[in-house]
Amino acid sequence: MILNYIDTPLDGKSWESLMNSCYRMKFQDEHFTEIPAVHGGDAGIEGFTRLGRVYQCYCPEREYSDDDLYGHLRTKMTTDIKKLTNLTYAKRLKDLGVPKIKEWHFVIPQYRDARIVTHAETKRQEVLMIKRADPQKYDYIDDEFIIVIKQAEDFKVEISRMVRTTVTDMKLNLAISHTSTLDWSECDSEKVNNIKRKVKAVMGDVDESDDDFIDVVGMYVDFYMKGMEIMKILRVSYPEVYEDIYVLEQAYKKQVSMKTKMNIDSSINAKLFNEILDDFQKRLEQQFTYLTLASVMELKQDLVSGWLADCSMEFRSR
Amino acid sequence: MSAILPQINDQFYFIDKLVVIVKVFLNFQLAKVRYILSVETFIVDINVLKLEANYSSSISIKILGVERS
Repeated sequence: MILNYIDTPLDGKSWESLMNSCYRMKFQDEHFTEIPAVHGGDAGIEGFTRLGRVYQCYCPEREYSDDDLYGHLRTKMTTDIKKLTNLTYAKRLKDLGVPKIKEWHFVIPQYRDARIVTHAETKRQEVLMIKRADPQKYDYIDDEFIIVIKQAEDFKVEISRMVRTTVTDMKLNLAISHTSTLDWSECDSEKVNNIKRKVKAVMGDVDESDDDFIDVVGMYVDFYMKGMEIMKILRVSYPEVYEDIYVLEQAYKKQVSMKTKMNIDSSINAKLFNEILDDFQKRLEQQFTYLTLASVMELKQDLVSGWLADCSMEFRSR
Repeated sequence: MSAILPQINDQFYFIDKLVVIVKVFLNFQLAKVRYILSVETFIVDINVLKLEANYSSSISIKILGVERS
């Protein structure tokens, strides 16, 4: 199943700050050093390590087409590599004690096609050509100099650890788009019937041909199926996040089961259902401060749809 | 329950973008909405709808990469 994730803002300053923390965590054993741009400028790089790695961050400020994204990445890389071979910047690098540069990292959220990789290779060859023309002037660049494109995915471990421990203000977003085009036949009919029965119990006297009933059942089937997919992804790619959710859900599911099964007054089904939604949302917001609000609501509805689809939430029908 | 009780045709921010309410399912805390310049509808929890845009940076698992079992 293809999930369409909702795009959320990511600005350059936050990206740079996040990546500085990632480099600090990943390259601490190489004595990572950040270069704040406050005094004397950043020398064209954000930081360096004692093994000759330097890096420069870039985050496109909006969602571009593939061509436009490539254009922006290309321009930024060209500009920054030009700074690397500018002798004014070179003096600043030497003053800062940057060792001979072996790797220049271009740190971006993502790239979508190979053209930027080709451009990086062109720029690498240009840098080495400049160096070969005057080895003394460009002695701060290693003979084996390479350009490496680093994406967010390369720092997945560091990012998920930092986000979870709220070392950074950056939140994780896992909200997806729920359109009403899902094919119900992909969902187990027993689960669909459970959802129908419980939605009917919450809505009261409603016919199965009622438009609102059909809409709501469709929404919960969608949340249920996509929610299972999200959980699978989290279990494999973000096990610590999955564990946090699993533990909370298991504990809360028992309460939900008790609350709904003990209710003998079916006229308050909707009220009870809303109390559960409100309380569960509050619990999620308290525990998952590292998730965006849209992600918390995603989890809320995904997990509730699971309770509707299985036997943990049961309402007496009217 | 959200402090906001959306009505059809009301406008709210869904994260950083304006949406129009198409239908509300109050008992389920859900609403069908569409982006202001779009006809395609989608479903949101009404508690995520706000009167002001939220431009806070976040990182999506879409760009962090996902592996499936």
